[in-house]
Amino acid sequence: MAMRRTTRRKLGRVAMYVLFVAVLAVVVLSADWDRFAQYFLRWDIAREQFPQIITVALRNTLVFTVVSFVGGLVVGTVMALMKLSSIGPYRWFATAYIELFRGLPALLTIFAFAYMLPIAFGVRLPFAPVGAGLLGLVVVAGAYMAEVIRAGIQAVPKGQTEASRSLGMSPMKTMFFVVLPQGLRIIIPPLTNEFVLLLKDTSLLFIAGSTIITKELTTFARDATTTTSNGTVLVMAAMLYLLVTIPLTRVVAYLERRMARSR
Amino acid sequence: MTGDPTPSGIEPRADAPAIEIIDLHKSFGDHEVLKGISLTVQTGEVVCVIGPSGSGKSTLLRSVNLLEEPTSGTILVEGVDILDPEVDVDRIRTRIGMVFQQFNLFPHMTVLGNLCLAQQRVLGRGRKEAEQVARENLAKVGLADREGAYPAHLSGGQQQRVAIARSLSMNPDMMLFDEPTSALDPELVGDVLEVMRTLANEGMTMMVVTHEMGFAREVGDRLIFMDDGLVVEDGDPREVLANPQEPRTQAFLSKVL
Repeated sequence: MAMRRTTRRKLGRVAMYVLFVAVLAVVVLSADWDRFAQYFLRWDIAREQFPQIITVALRNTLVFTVVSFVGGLVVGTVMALMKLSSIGPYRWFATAYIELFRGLPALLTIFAFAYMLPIAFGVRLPFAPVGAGLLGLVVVAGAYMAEVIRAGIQAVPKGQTEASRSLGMSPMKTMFFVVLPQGLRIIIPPLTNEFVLLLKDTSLLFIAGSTIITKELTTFARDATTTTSNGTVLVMAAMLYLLVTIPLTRVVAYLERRMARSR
Repeated sequence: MTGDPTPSGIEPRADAPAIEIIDLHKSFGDHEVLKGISLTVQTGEVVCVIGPSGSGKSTLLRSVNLLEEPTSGTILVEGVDILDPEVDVDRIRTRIGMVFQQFNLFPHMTVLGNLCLAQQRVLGRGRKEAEQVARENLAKVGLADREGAYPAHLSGGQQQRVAIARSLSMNPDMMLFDEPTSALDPELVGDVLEVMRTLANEGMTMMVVTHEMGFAREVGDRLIFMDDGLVVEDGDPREVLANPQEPRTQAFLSKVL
């Protein structure tokens, strides 16, 4: 059969498209869209959620994300510095911390902080019950960010430290004025990624329980689903998550491209 | 500088040589890089160190400001034993300027920022004073118009001159140069050597690890040839280059000249 190679390739591609469209058509046509819309796309229910789904739920999700990100950055930096320390016990502690909280499901850690900590120490953290859960999220974020920050610090050329020390700068000053600023710049893309992951992980805070004013998106949607006996609010929550995460992942891609160019 | 009162015996002495190295040894693991170096650099002297790669000349230079920790031996800087645990190494280092082969400018700061950082954070100078000192030194290296630039936007030769100005801004008593022109394109070497020549003429104490034989001959007061962790020859540069006494020096010079 004397068919030319390019012709054969073209035919193959057309066959793929046809198959793809066929599968899509079967799925779309076989679904009961009226029933689906009745359970998941009710405009009247959707309208009732405003403005609380934005002013309370989305706002809390963003606030919790920023708090756990900033907290995680501080904890992560301290852990990264301890892990790189020449003092053995610091290193061991940081290693144990990182292994422990990266190895546990975030949900369990949040649960532990929300219920075990108050019982063990008899303290109530501010903004209970969500405050304690948030502390758990900070601890988890810190463990993940510690490794990213450590990699960033180690990516700064050794000559930078040598130049700084040669000018009489102490190890501490060298770290804060020379190494960390450069290391943090290198890890902006992975840190932004971490932010996106944290945004989604705030949904785990539901395990800590909530009051009306501390509901984040997922808790809000779950509760609304119960009260309305309808899944519309879950769909709304999903769309609100995407509204934040998709632009952010675009930002990460942009930053990575810019970093690649400046090398 | 108005430092704290320091214990006696660790203050610099004006009458002591700038650098005095006595029986210096340095090993990396099993590998002995310096096998007993002794030499003295007088104040105002320009000493060039040459030798094949791996001869230990960079390690020797880096030992003087303790970027390398010697295995044994003594290093006196202006009469201060810098290996004495009582001595504040950071303070010693402010008096010793260091220029690297790879420049090592801080890429996240402007030229001016590079020159001011340690002045403000170590010497405690105010911003205005630091900037004034920085500008004087930038003018000296011929880069007064580039104070706002970032290192990435400068040529290698310009970066190295900024690095020299950065060291000078600490008002050091002596300068160490670790192959300062080896990473430069040939046409950029001249500007850097010119700056170094000016410094030498002003009486700066300098120790220069280099491959630039012309510079060593014309600017150096002394030339040291190192091989295999030892000082093989030490004398007047013109003498050593024209009439090397040791076979190893002769072999090396016949290859590079």
